[in-house]
Amino acid sequence: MFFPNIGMTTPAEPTQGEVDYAWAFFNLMRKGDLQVFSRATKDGAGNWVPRRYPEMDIPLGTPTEVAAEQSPNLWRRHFTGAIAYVNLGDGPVNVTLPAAGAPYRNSRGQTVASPLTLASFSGLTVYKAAMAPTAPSAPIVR
Amino acid sequence: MRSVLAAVLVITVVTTVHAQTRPGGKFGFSYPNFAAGAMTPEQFVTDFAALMHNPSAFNGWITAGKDPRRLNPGGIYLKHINVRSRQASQPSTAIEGRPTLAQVQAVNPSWILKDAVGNPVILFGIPGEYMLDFGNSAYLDWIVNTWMPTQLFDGLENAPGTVTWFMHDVGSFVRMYTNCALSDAACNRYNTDEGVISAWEALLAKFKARWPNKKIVINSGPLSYVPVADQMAVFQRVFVKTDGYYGETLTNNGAYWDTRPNPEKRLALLTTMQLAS
Repeated sequence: MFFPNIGMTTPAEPTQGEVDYAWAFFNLMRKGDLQVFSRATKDGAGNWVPRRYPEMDIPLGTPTEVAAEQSPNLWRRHFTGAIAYVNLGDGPVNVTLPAAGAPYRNSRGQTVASPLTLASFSGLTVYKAAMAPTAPSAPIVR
Repeated sequence: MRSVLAAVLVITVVTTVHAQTRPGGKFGFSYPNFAAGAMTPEQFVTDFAALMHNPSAFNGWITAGKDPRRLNPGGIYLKHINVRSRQASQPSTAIEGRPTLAQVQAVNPSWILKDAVGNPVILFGIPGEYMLDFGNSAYLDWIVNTWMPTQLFDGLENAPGTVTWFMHDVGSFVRMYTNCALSDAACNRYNTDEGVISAWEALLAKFKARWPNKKIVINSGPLSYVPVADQMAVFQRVFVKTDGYYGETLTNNGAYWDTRPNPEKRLALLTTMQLAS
């Protein structure tokens, strides 16, 4: 199994930007049924209290490719319902989102415009219109 | 009757697996706290496919009748263990699943590694973190045959044939830099990468041979200063004997190498990408 965690080594919860980056990075790699994403969520006193977060409830669909380096240090992976982008480059990049699937949204349901600007060492999973957070869909099937 | 029972069992398993697979995939949580106001264990196991926590937490859940492993037998609920080093501040195995000083001294004090002047070898510079001769065959025999069933395992883990999961901490596979006495073979073993790696292999082989139904994952992570291919050769050598990888970070955020130059960060991240696959 592959069980990486985020937010374990810092007192505060990870920022949304850190979650977006980690979630996209995880989605680049995920394969099979024994890979789990783990994000520390904490209460006001710093206790590690589990709670659900939006990424848990939005389907990605099935992957249609393995992670691909779209341009130097810009990684991408298409799913039927989403696209994960990760920028491991030294500077920001502008990513033109495919027309098919627009309008794209982030995990909080906010519209993501094209081109998407990704800072150095950041990432985002954009969800296609058909996969809006309230749209019913099957879980990931591989 | 037998076929009906089989059908019921199949339906139960399918329902359990489905319940912990969220639309976004499978999710885990480490060190969950089920204090008042937080998610209950019953709620937790419907949302989270995996967890990791210390033996003391499992003991509390067992006492309360809310052991996640029993609430959801399909979950991957890992118990923290560490037989590589003992921590002076931990007098009980229940704290982090480690052998205690008293337990080791009662059997063979020489399993606590010493440097050239007789001081305990400290792992990673952590005060009180005394390194054990964890590749020693006699030590491992005691660990898997005596210590685990009498000091570590709970009732579920001691039930014959039960599949339970463990997370072994301190998954570093690089050499130590201890000032060992020249004649101290045990100490000097861990001053080579090969000595450390072969110790892990010995530990995992003994564990799997004695407890074939138990699963073990290793808490590890990539390095930012070793070529990807070289790291992967070591990871493949060790992880092939395990049931998986556990990491306290995923990206550079929160990693000790986050302050390193970008090429080093990329190296570690590209290693992680290969490791996951």
